[in-house]
Amino acid sequence: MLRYTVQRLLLGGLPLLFLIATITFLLMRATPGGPWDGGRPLPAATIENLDRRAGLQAPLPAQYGRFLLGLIQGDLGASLTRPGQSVAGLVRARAGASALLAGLALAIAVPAGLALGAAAARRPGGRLDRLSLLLGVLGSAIPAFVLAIGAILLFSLWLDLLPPGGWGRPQHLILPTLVLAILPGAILTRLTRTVVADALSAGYVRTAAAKGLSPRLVLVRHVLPNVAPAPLMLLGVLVADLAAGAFLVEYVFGIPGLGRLFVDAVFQRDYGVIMGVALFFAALVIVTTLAADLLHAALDPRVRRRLTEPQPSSSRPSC
Amino acid sequence: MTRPIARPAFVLALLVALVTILAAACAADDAPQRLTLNIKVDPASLDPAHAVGTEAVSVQRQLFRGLVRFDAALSIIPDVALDVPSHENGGLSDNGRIYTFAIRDGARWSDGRPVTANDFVFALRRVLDPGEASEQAAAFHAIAGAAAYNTALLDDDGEPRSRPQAELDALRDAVAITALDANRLQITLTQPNPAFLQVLTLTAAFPVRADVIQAHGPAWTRPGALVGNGPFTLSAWERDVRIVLSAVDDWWGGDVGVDSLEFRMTPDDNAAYAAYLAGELDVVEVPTALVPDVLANEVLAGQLTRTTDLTTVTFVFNTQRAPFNDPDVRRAFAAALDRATFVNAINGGIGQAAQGWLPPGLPGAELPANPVTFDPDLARTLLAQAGYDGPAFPSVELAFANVGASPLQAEFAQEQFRRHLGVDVALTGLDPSAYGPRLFSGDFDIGLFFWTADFPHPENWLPDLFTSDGPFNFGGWSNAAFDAAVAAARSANDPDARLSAWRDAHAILMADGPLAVLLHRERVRLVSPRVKNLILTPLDGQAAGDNFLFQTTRTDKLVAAR
Repeated sequence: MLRYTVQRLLLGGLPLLFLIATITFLLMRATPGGPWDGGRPLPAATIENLDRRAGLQAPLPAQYGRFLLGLIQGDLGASLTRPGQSVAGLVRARAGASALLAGLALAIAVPAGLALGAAAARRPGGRLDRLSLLLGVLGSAIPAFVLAIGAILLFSLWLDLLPPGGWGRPQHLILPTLVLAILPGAILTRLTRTVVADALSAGYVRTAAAKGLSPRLVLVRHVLPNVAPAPLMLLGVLVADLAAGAFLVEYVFGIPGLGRLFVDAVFQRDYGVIMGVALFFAALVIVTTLAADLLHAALDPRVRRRLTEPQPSSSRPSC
Repeated sequence: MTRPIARPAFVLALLVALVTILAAACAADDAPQRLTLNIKVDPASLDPAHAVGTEAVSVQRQLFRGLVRFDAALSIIPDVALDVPSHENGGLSDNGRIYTFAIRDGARWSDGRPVTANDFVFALRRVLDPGEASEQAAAFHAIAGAAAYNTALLDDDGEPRSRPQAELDALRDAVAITALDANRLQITLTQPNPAFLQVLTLTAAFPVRADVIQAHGPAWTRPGALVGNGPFTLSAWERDVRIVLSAVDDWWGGDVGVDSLEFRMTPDDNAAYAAYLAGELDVVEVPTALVPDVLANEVLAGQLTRTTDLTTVTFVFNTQRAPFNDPDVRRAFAAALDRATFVNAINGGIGQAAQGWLPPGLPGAELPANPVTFDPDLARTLLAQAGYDGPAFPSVELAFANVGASPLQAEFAQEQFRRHLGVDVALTGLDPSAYGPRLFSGDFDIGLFFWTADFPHPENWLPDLFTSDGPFNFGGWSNAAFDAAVAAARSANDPDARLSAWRDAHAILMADGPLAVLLHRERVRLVSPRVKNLILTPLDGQAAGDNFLFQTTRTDKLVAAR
């Protein structure tokens, strides 16, 4: 298992990161405008001084080479639009808020989605099933932005229960976490409902019921372990979804996270920060996908065998 | 299944119950005597040399004080300087080039040391240091030796070149900013410049401490390290969340009205508005779309304040190519804009329809002899005179930065040109960083931009933007009479002659120039009744009243505005 993990990170993860870094570099530089173009117009001499300080006057291949050299040494360079701040420092300072939000959102979405989905599948067409359908449709259809504004209107302005935004006190976490949890929760609910409903009509369930187990025990002991891999495999996708949702939610609620940092950097053409956040998210998705696969293997002996045993030459680790 | 789908009310009740429990679990507490304002975004830097953006300016004005500043009527008054140099008090030489400032006794840094002339010498030379690459450096090129030092690492073609450190040091020492002694500062200009005292109000002219910057490097603007000479000190800087400043005890400039200031960074206007209604912000800018609601609400309408900014929103024409190389075509387009309708019907009555480029309140801004007005008949006549018939007009593009009010303004102009001239203009919205280079390179037919005063003087509004060799002459317009009027204004010694020359320049610009002005911006804010003595000026940065916040007070224990 360890060997598989190392192999996949070295042969799959690293080259992929390198590819993403290169594509990001090229895309950034192909985009019109630079870091000094978004604000007030600056005289040419000032721009030349700024370019020189930032090393942007060098030919593009030289800049790319210097960037790679830094990357290998773990140095992402300095922010262009925030003098005196390093990219790594900016990402580190913002990652905490995003991780806290995403972690809380997942902590709500995963158990809630699994429980609601499983419960809904037990009685198709029942009250819970219809509720799960409603939540699933609304949760996937309404953009996080609209949910966020709606939540502020309801809980802050009309009911006066929670602050409309901000950061630093526990109650600041409640609304953004709920808004962020809705999409992954909705996806998980619908997925769990489908796979559980499928499993309930399988032969082994009938056997378990026939030997006298209660419906609850059948669900917990036989059905859930069998269907668990499906939602698990989704984890990588959910993390990517959470990152995308965070861009808007962090903006509306004024949360100091990576999403907001990234959006600002893109508009300001802060090349170093764009690269730093892009690589951070890429690494996160690579690691989460790997973790999901490893969990899957832990749950399913067939998968474990396939991953650990020597494989035919055709199968390459992939991300 | 005959029963209806689970009622939304049920779901809602569940959520409300959950949130109530969570909210009750964490009780809120408020610090008294803290004024909370929104600056929307995290300042890129609190280093005066790199104060770009109105949000950074608002914070810096609390942390540092310069030689001179504006009073509420926008006249220059002394700040760290004992008085404003003039011919009468001998602070300004007869030739108008040498300024001598006496530093006020008792002006102190937050660590107790006296503010000296050397602090200003260090700060201004640092802004001009080509290696520092200050965004504001060019504003100080009027000082003798400044331009040579600031551009020392560029050759004549703007290409980088290296220089030995000794040579750079010599150029730095040649910049004509000198400390005559600890309390006297002398600055010599290349030529007389009546706007120079206003330039000294810019944040980049604030003094900084050489020893502090040397000790901490780029981290010198962090809480604990930063030493300023303003009414507040930096207590906390939570990136993208808030900056907290604490009042200086026994501040040398006078009594400070509140114990602390909090600058929030809530980027979304609607969220900030909600925060104001919830009593979390003391002042907020009202989103344009919500102005009618606010006006209709008796309580909120009473908290409303409106200030006209020294800002002009304008369309600029590319005079380097057809069809806008023809002044008649430019005049036709300028006459086809019904500005009053835009302000009243589309902008909810916010803003002031522009009749000239210079905003009212600027010296020399009295209406030009030929104010631009909406006249569709004249517009059509002018277009015909130029040899164009509406539908046969060449296809032209209107480019704009796709942020804020710009898209609305561009769409309005498109509709006006179609209706009154029969000309179809294509719209191209770009993000600001992509739009800037298009303007600079002259890659547009019509562009939309706005200009905000750095200081209230025609010097800040006319030369850079419209003289033939102006660095921001986007439209490539060149008019010898205008250039001559600007040169006359800059060199005239007599104040009346100067003003009259600026007025001439403005009149020529409006008659022949590359622009169709739209409006002067107005800011609509709500101010909590808890706040007293908030003094708003047209030169405020992102935070309302930031020029006088040390005088502003706040009473606690008042029911939240609602």
